[in-house]
Amino acid sequence: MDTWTPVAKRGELQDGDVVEAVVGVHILAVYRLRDDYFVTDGICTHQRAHLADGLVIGRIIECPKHQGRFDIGSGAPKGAPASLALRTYPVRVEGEDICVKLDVTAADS
Amino acid sequence: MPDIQEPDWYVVPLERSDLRRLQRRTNYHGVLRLFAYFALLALFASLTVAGFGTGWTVLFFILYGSVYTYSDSIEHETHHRTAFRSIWLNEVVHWLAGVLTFKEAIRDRWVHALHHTYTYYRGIDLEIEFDRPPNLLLATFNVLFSIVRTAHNLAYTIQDAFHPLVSVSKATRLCVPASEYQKVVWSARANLACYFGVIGVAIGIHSWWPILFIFGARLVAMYIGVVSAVHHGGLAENVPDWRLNTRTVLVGPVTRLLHWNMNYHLEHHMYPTVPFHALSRLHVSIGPGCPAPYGSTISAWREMLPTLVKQRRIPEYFVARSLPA
Repeated sequence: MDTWTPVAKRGELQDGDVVEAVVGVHILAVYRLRDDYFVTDGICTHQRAHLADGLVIGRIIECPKHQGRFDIGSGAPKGAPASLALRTYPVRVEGEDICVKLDVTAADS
Repeated sequence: MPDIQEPDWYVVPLERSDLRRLQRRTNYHGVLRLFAYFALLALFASLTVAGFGTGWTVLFFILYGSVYTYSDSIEHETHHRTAFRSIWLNEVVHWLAGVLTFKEAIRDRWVHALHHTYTYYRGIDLEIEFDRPPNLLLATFNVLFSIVRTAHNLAYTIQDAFHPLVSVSKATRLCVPASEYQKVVWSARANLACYFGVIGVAIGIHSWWPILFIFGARLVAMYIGVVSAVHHGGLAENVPDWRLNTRTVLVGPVTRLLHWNMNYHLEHHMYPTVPFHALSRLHVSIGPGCPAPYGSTISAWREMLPTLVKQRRIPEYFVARSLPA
């Protein structure tokens, strides 16, 4: 059975914003782009930095530490020093809750 | 990549909304700086050529070189993608600035990322300016003329360009993941093609000027050398607190213009996503949590130079800065 975990409220996020959510050992970054929501791992794959402190530019999240870039939807690296993809997670909205399915791989998403 | 744990750097806290405001990027600030840079180059190049045969040509060439070597600052700001709002503009200027600095921009972005992660961690940070104990003669030479540094960087670029016939350069091996080597290699080849192009133009027009204005001017680094040597020189090493190993120095408008406000160096290290044009505001925002800035480049040198002299006898000596309560 699918397990969907609420990670943020819709009202917490403005368009083009990112916030951090912690679920157990998972540190996640939750994004809003217009009316769509996305969730990726919250720590940069290059070096330890919290992506929620970074900058959303279009569909790109830019790491606050070295400005490595990732595609928010796919997690693909889009600019050095990012070279490894971020893990992404399926998202759905249930009422005011933004929920994420954590028990799948990036490839599944 | 270094196998020591990444330092957990102290950062003066900043309200999220304030940070978001400071992070806003523009194109026009960067375009204006770039225009000013090339306008000054054109002016001093014209005067150098016009004054040929007189002593003025030497003076104007030094002025040309002093501006030209601030391509380092352009490359640096574009490393961080904070020079322009437009991504493509940032990346085009980044690559061209890499040609002007002789650093090859893709490799150097990785080298610089390491500098931000391990600022002044000796043995890891490749951007440490002074040895311990320092060789003062060599240090002076390096500050005034960028001969050794440029030669190293050009050698790295040549070596990378010939990969896989030879191994990648030391800088690439230490800083760049193997999956990214090809980007560095092709960029290095394109850099070399540019340099051969300059030589070709010089031969084509039977003139030394292109060689002097691109290759010779790169070595005239006394202005940026003196200004940027104080960013970290003589301060603590291997400490995860930029307030202890990085200086902010108040400088005049010309230096701020050419240096892309990188005199606010402590602020830049703490919040590298803040673009150059917002660093003075960031300085005000986090100032109470930082040591007082130095009043001038001279005042920073007054502290750094005796420290370097003392380090010849006592290599472990450094300037211990006091932190705000």
